[in-house]
Formats: sequence, structure tokens, C-alpha cells
Amino acid sequence: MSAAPILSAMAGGALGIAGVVVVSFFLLFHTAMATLLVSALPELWRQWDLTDDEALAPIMRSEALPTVSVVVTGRAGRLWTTATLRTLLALRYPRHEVVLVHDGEASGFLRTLIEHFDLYQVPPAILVSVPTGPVRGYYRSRRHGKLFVIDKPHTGHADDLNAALNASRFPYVLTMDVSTHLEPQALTRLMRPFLLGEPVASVAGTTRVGHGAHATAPQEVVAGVPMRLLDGVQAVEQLRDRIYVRLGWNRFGGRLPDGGTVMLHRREQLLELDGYRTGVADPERDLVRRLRAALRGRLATAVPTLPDAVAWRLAPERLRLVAEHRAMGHRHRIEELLAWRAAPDASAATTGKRAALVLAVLTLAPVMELLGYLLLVVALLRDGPAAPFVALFLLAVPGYAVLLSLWAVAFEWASAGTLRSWRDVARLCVFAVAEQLGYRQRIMWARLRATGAAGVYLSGWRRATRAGHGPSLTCRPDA
Amino acid sequence: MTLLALVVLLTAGAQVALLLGFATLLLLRRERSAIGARGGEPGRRPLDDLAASRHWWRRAEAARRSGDVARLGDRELLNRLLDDPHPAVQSAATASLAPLVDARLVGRLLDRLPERPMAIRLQQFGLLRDALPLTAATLMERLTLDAPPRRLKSWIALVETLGSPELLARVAALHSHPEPLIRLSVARALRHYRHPEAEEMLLIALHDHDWRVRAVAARSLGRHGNVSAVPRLAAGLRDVRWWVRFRCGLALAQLGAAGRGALDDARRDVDRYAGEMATMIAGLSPDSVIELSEG
Repeated sequence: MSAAPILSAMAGGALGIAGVVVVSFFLLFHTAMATLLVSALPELWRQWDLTDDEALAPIMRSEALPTVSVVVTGRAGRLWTTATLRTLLALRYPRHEVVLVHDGEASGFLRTLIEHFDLYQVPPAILVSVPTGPVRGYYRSRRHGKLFVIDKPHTGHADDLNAALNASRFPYVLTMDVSTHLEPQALTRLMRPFLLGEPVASVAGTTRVGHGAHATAPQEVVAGVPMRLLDGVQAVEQLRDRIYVRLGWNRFGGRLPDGGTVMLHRREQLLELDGYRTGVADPERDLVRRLRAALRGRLATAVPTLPDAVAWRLAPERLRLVAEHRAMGHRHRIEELLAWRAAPDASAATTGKRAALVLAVLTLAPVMELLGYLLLVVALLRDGPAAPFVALFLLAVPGYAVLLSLWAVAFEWASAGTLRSWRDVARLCVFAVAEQLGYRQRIMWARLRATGAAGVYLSGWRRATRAGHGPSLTCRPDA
Repeated sequence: MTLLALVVLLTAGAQVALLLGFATLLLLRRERSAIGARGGEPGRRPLDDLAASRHWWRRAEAARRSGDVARLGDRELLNRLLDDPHPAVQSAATASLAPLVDARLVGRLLDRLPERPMAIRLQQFGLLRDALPLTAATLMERLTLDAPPRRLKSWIALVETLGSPELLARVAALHSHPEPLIRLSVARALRHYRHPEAEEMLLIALHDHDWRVRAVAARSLGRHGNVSAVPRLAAGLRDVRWWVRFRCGLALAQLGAAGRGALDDARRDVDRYAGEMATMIAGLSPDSVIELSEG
């Protein structure tokens, strides 16, 4: 008996098993996401917007509402920064302050800020509760009593946050990136769980992808469905993965924040934890983890995500930048997983078994997807388009992902009030399909490369990225 | 393929759940809007049915309509809705109370104030302010040293909002309360009470063993703007706590020439920390002083 048919049969069997594994993996993966979307539904109809309640309208303007410090960190162009500050100073909230950390060279654009906001240097009337790196100067505005600027050399994101935490005076602290644009009602919406006495430790606000006003004023973010394909695809991805799936996690204790999340904390709790830890890839994520561990056993431990439209940002303009951003996020996941794997007991307080399982599945996903594409090519070459695997794979991977995106668009239409017309809905549906045609594969490839890089160069990469954060990927050059 | 079939079954189940859940969301939202507009089928439901509903927006609608019924004597229903677990229902019930306020209701509202969510508490502050004579009389009976501290704290915050001199005088009498948080609330409320007695109590509070009380007392004294407090505030610049030194410095900066003079003198103080704080505060512009004093 010839060995060739046996080998061929064995190869066919192996391919068949691999195909079943890949398709099952993605069906389970996407079904888990669908389950999270189902659990997001009660969260959506639980919401009660205080700003819409007539009886509470006078309260929302009352000086008796708790005061909030809005802490702005990160880097952007000078026009962008001044535009962000103007928006923040005009937020509709009875009493808040804006603390901006100008983090960079002494020759940065502090001069522009001084001229634009009539800043003057003030003595350091600040209690340093959390040690930070050196600060060059503190500035107040003659024109806007709410504005406070800290000028310091670049020593890392956590250090910026700690400097701002020391300088903030109010009991609630909202942290955000300078490239994020807040809605005028954002503070009232984010304060809702605290105002309604819900047992929460902190609150995470979601950021939606908007679009630039026009070419001559790119620093103005328009809260609406983007026009460009790449922006639109990211808008759909954001709605699905970072808003509604994340909302579903509220039922399971909440999900850790990621880049672009707007966080509202109690200042007292941040000081109890000695502020943000330097030397971690994502200080906000690390802080929420430590906060949960510290508050374990107490009443207010949840860090829920709010579905309300509170913040907008522009998406990176180039696919390469998006891919880099996703690759960085993927490397963080791998690093967290490896840290947990190396010392599960030591990490137990911050990374539970469930979180580790989620990290493992997310880490594995691009590898399985690549395997799926390879099997797809083999199946097409062997049996042509009629091969059962081709249809199964297309249904389980891009097909199911489109379905989930359409659900996210439906949720947005039903709840957030950001889709003004049927054209907006239709455009998002088109973007949901377009996401699977090239964009998804490019992101998968970036994540795969990040997996490889993390495996081979993990220690070297740690040294390179932990020194601090780079410029915001979402920032636009000044006009 | 059995595994695959099972997974496909799970997938279909999740989609059905999503479909049903989303349809329910839309239906409930539609009903909520209809109730909000006081139209549609639910509007014709008896009030008791609405009040017993498991959906909060129906109970909120019952609360909105309960004012009329309560006027006819159905206090039990209104009380039940006031204590509803959902704040929207509590808010609607509070909004319906305005025409019904009497001494008994004011007493009940006051006793439950600390348990209310912050937003509802503030709303009820407004209601109680509108019924000031009744509120003042009921509060006067309750503002005593032996009242439960949690309630006392809420009542002092209410007095601060009401700003009635008689009530503030009664609050001032609580300045020696054993609970530091009550003393702190008293020191904060007294910033609205410009009276020699209040000044005296704030000066006493500047020597409290709890640093938070000392800091708040300094802030209130700065708000009063009475230069007679300058020597004590200048002494506060030597406090062991940064916040107390900071608040004393800011208060001095608010007390005109006398306060600024005291800050200048303190810059040459032998106490290094007092000198540093005085130098820092003296460098602030008047606008910054106001901004920092308010925060």
C-alpha cells in the first residue's frame, strides 16, 4: 500500500480538525462578545439621565454639587491644546477647575498658553502629597480663574498625573488626555453614580470617534459620525469593543480602562494609594487594579463604564498609526498575562483568574485568525470556493464580527442619541462591513508582530516603553 | 462536527437573546416616553398598579401623580414612593410634595436626609428652603448635642443652605461637639454667620486638636474679613499641618492691609515653615487668593 494516500488522508484530517478548532474558537469568542452585549442591555435601560429630569434641573446648576478637578495630560499641538482648554473651561458644571500639565521641553508652547490665557507664574501653593519629578513652574490665568497650568520636564505619564493630583483641589478628579474632547454635559453625566449614591469606587466614561470640523480648523472635534472610511471603521470598532462590550462587563465587576478612557475618581482614594505608580505601561489601568484590590471587601468597589456620550476624539489618520496603537495594546496584554503566569499568587490581588483567561483568549485570537486565513487558502486551493470550511470561516469570523458591529450600531441608535439621521446609521453599517475588508487583517498582522516581538524582545521592550509615554497618537498637527 | 454544532447552537441562542433583549429595550423605552408624555395606555392604569410596578419609570409616574391623591389623605403611598430604592422615583415624589408640606412631613424629610442620595438630598434642601418657617421650627428642636451625628451633619449642611441667622446661632452652639466631623461642619457653616459669637467660636476652633477643623475655621475667618482675627491667624502660620498654615495664610491675605502686614512679618519669622508659607501666599495675586480660598 502506498504511503501517499495515507499521508494525504492524515493531512486532510489534520486540516479538518484545525478548521473545526478555528471556527469553534471564533464562534465561541464572538458569542462571548454577544453575551456581553446582552448583559449591556439592562445597563442601558437602567440609565436615568439627571440632566433630562425637570425636577432635578435646578439641582444640576446648584453650587452645592461636589466640585471636580479636570486633569489634562498628554501631548498635542499648541492650537489643539488651546482648543481643548477652551472647551474644558466652558463645561456646564457649577464649579470645576482645569489642571493642565505642560509636559515637555522648556521651549515648548507654554509661551502660547501664557499669551492665550493670560497666565502668570504663581508660587507653588501646593501640598505635595505624592512625590513627583521636578516642576519648572505653576501658572494661573488672569482671565480664567478655573485654569491652572503645571510646567514640567517630561518624566512619564504617571508623574504628570501625580503632579496634577497634588495640584488639584477638589474632591473628585477627572483624568483625560489632551486629545479628548468633552461634551458640555460630561461632568454632570460622569458624576451621576456619585450623585445617586451608587456604590462605585470610580467611573469610566467612554470616548467616541468623531471627525474634524474642517481642514482649516482640524483642532475642532465634531461629535458625529465620521465621513472618512478609516475614521468610520474605527468609530464602529470603538462602539462595539470599547463601549457596548465594555458596558456588558459592568455586570461582572467592570473592565479595566484602556487608552482614551476618561476616568472620574475620588481624590481621597487616589491619595490613599499614593497616586499613580511610575514604571508601569498604563498608569490608569494599574491604578484601577490597585484600587479594586485595596477596596476589596468594602461596599464601593465597582468601576462601572457609563454608556453616555461624554467624550469624543479624532481617530489616527493613517492605518500604520492605528496598527501601532493596537500592537502596543496587545503587547500590554501579553505583558500582563506573563506577569500573572510568572507569579499568579503575587498578582492575584490585581489580576484574577478570570482576567487572566480573558487576556489569554485575546492574546491567542490573532494567532488563531492567521491560522484560519492559512486554512482558508489551503481549502480554496484544494476544493475551491465550495469547500465547507470557506463558508464556515467567513460566517464565523468576518460575518459574525459584522453582526456584532451592527448590534453595537443599533444600541447606539437606541440609547445614546448621537446618530441624528438614518444616513448616520446607514453610514455606520457600511463602515461595519468595510472593517472586515482589509482593516481587520492589518490589525491582526500588527498584533501578531507584537506577539512575536513580545516573545523575543520582551525584556528590551519593557525598558523601552516603560520610561514614559510617547506623544498622543490621536493628536493632529496644528494648522 | 458535534462540537461545531454545539457552538453554532450557542451562537444562535446568543443572537436570539440579543434580539429579544433589544426588542424589550425598545418597547420599554417607548412605554417610558409615553408615560413621560402622560399619554398612551399606561396613563390609564390605576395609581396603585403604577406604584407597585417593578419598573421604576412607572413608579416615578405614580409619584408624579401622587400629589393629588396625597392631598386627599393617602400619605402612605407618598411615603412609600419617597423611600423607593430608585432615585428617579424619590425625585418625582419630592417634586410632588410642594403643596403638601406640613410639620410632620418636614420632620420625616429631615430624619431621612442622610440616607438620601446626594442629588435627592439637594432637591429636598430646596423644598425645605421653600417651607422655611416650618423647617426652621422643626430643625431648632433637632439641632442638639445628643442628636445622631450622621443626621446632625446633614442638618448642618441644610442650615448652611438656608442661611437663617437663628439656625446658624443654634449650629454655633454645637462647636464643642465630641465628633470632629460635626465640629468641622459647624466651622464651615459659620462662614455664613457674621456675628461676634461666631467669630469667637471660630477662633476657639483654630485651636481644635483635629487639623481639619483648624483649617476650615481659618477659611471661615478669612471669609468673615474681621481684622481682629489677624493675630490668631498669624499664629496659625506656625501650625504643624501644611493645610492649616495654608488656610491661615490665605485668610490673612483676605484681611486687607492688616492681614498682608502680618504675612510680611511672618516672612521673617524664625519658624522656617511659617516663613515659607507666608512668602508663598504673599506672592499670589488677589484673584488667585480668591480662587484658592473658595476651593
